[in-house]
Amino acid sequence: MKKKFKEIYNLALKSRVFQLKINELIKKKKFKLPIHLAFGHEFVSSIVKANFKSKDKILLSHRNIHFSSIFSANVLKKYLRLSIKKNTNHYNSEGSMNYTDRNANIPYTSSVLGNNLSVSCGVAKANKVKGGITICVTGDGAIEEGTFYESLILSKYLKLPLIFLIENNNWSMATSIKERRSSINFNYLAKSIGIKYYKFRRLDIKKNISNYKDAVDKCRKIKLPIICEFEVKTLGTFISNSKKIHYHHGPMLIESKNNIIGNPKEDILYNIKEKLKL
Amino acid sequence: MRIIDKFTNYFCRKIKPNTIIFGQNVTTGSRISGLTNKIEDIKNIEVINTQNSEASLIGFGFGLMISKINSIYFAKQLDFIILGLDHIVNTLNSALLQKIESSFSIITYIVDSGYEGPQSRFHCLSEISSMSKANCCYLIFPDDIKINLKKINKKGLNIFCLSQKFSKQKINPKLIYADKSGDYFKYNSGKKYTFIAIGFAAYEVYELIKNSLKFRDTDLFVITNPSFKKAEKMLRSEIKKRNVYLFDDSR
Repeated sequence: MKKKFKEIYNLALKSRVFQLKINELIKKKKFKLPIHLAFGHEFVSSIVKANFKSKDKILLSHRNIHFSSIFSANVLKKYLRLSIKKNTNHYNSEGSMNYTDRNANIPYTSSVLGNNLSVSCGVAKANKVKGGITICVTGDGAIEEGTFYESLILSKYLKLPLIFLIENNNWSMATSIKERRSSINFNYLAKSIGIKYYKFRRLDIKKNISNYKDAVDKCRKIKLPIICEFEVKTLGTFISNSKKIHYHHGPMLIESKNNIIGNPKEDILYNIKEKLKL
Repeated sequence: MRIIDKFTNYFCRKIKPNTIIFGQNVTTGSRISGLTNKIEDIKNIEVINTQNSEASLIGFGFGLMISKINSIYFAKQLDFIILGLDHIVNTLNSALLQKIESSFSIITYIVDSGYEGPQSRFHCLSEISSMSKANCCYLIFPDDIKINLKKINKKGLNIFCLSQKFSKQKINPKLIYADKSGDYFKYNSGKKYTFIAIGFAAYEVYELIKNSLKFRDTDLFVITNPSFKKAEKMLRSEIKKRNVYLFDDSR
């Protein structure tokens, strides 16, 4: 188990280091295209990677650097390509928000909120016969789109081994959940469709590692969709209309000499190391 | 034979093995007003009768496409396809960047009968064609349907529309000329007039030629591709002649 914990911590660390590199390049204005950083999301991508098999597929959303940084080989080279212009109007890539890498089993990523949910049903249908499971990464904002509900029903009806992985950071642009909608009881929603639901509280490090493995094993075995909701805290702060938003918003983090995270206890990496006694 | 029967006959012959055909009512009820009547005759395919979620079903087709599986989605009418415009525009762009080799085709009716209410007023495939990189095509008379259905396995997104109003009729004009692109066809020859019909305007223009002595001596061109890609050259050349009339009933 210690080996698994170490693997997950190292993956999370790798993702953090990569993001710090990219953040420095952003500050130097190396990228003309937007890159959404995901400081604080690394634990989710790391446990997904640690349970990912060669036949599995993963579909991402606009904030995906915590996944691409540990799923893709030569990822820095791929990101540097984002700044190369093909001609005056077009860049020589699909951009970070539509990041794909077939060699890393990332066949699709969408910058459009909720767009990847139904696409993942098609990918899961094709991948089922090959023996793999499919993971669709989405967020607490994207699940407000109607296609979330439609895709749940479709995937259940077609018996697709598909994990709807919700990263719930409480924010959609500059509004928190309380400011924009009623809360959703995923347990009831999932139950109403006959889908299994797992909740992952942010600091339950050990429990989350074991529960996610259980969810993935179940998905492989029963070949049915599963919802996994992860609480995450996107690190960083930005000011919008005099309102302090407590989450990092990509290139707006500019004070490189200061610590990025004021209180390390807020940081998931600190917590992984502490709780797993690494 | 009715146009719809010709369509189902040709359709069954064009489908490649391992294709997934899906949509609501494809195996039940009216089978989308007869569109999937002979679907059981097709061998080595998978047919899925689905729920009614147009936007997600279009996304599903794109998921199959990027996973190298050809698929065909039958939808009730073009108005409902608007729900999936995000995929038709954005997901298609993304898939094309990946240089995909598979096809995803949508086949639907345009409800042009005129008395279906305000939700059935979208009668313009060219609007979708202008927004998206989809290959759009009107399926009009049996001969152009036969030729254009060859494009059903063309890589990328293909959208085919039939007329709800005319597809139950037995109209089968003699084909004079078919452009190799399948973008336009000539169904009558004459010297006095040139009629160019875009999309389903072709039905009434053809009736006019057939039933009126005055217009018998008329060239009739029918444009099936609303983006006018290959028809533009023909249009430029024909427009120089006298007595050229353009008919377009889309809105």
